[in-house]
Amino acid sequence: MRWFVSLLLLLLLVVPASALGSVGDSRILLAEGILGELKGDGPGMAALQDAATWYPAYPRAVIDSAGVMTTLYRPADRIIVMNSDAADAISVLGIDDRVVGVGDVIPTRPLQFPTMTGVQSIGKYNEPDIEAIMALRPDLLISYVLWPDAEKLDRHLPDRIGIVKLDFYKADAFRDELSTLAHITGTSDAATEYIEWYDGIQTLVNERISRVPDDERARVFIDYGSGRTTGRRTMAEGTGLHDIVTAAGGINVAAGYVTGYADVENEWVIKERPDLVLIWSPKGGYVPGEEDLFREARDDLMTMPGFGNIPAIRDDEVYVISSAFGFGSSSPVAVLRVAMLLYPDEFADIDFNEVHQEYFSRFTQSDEEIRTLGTFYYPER
Amino acid sequence: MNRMRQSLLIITAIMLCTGIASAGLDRTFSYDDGLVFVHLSLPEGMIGGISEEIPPGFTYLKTTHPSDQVEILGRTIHFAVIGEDTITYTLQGQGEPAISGRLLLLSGDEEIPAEASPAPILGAIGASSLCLLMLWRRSR
Repeated sequence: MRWFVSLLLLLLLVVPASALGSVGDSRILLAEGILGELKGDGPGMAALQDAATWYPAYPRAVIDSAGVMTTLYRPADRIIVMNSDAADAISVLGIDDRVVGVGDVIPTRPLQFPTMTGVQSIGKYNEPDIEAIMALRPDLLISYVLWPDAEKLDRHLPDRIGIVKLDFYKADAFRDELSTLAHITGTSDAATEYIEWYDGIQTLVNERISRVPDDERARVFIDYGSGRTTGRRTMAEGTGLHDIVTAAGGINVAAGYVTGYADVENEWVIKERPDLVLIWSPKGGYVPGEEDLFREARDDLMTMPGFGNIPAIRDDEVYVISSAFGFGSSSPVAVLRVAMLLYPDEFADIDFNEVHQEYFSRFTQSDEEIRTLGTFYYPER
Repeated sequence: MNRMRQSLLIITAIMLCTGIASAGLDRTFSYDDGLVFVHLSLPEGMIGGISEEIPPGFTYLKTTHPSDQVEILGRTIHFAVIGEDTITYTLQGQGEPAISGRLLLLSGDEEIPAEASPAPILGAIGASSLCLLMLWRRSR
């Protein structure tokens, strides 16, 4: 009898304590898919067979910036990026080798996206070529929230292609949007690395500007060229550079006076007496040799009749910032740059070029050349 | 019966039990005072679904399966199976229900990890224990 008990004990020991543990969301998503299929409204056998093969890594689901849930049942190995902001995010995550189709602007930026320049174009970000998209057999397509509208994209594509709408050009949403893209593409480690760097810069800036008393905060005028109807065009709440100025501890003099992109009278600018002027330029950035355009824009503003009495002009505190620098993954660098322009004494120990180079080398696939020839701001302080 | 023959019998019983349990879906019933317990033994590491059509005269009461993997629509119970080895659900009614089932199998055997399901081993333990008890009683 003793050997029988021993055998029984031995057999009990080899039984695994738990065959499958909790795997969180993918279990629920897979269960929903299976139950849907049993009822006749599931995602289809092909998708579920993919999910069964890749479980528990997949299915994965995200809610995009349009508020729509997208589920992928297999890894996104074939991705289409419809615009440069999505391409920028893909570069940060280091999965540019999965991109099989791009919006037509990407091939025009070989220095910013050298690894995506030769990829098949799918047309404009707001007027895509559906046949070209279908021929590429993508798993995932990333577009802006508003462009193209559903009539031009969504309704022409089968359900098996995941469409995720993320903007990546709004500073306050960039962090969350990157995490969303990282989750659906299974690149959370890369996103974590970037977000730690992003948060590190934000913390540095916040710490330093918190030392500046409220009554010593710099008053900034944002210039976006000649006004369409009068005076100068400026950028207030709801625009990218306003967010950067605010994050850098500055006061946008136009906030509360106008909203968004708006014209203001020259007399009003003179009366506001800003301490510093930032000129927002669509030029430069990853296009080399455009420093002259920055210089011209700056000279034009500084020689405006009556502007010589503005403290910013008088003290030579006028700077040009490239929009390629202020949007997307480089926006923390732009915030640091502006904060350093506003409060140089607080950042005397920071080497801005070192931070900028770190950004290029860690989070972009950009060509080495652009790091020395690109004009992201002008002039050096 | 000597020890060698007894051991041989035990090993044979274990192998047989494992083979049966691995073969596929199996539905058995047990009863207790107007309740019918339906036991479904599932293929090892199965990922897929099962729909059970309950005949008139029986009412579905509950199941041991995770609640977010079950959906009841009229007389049909849908189960999503994600690696579970067994499903037990309870009906109220008299006699053996004539249940018709439908199986949706998404994963093939070649993708099922050996450690995914303890069910055959548990079955083997039970069967071999019974076998050993009989042998032990005979040899006394």
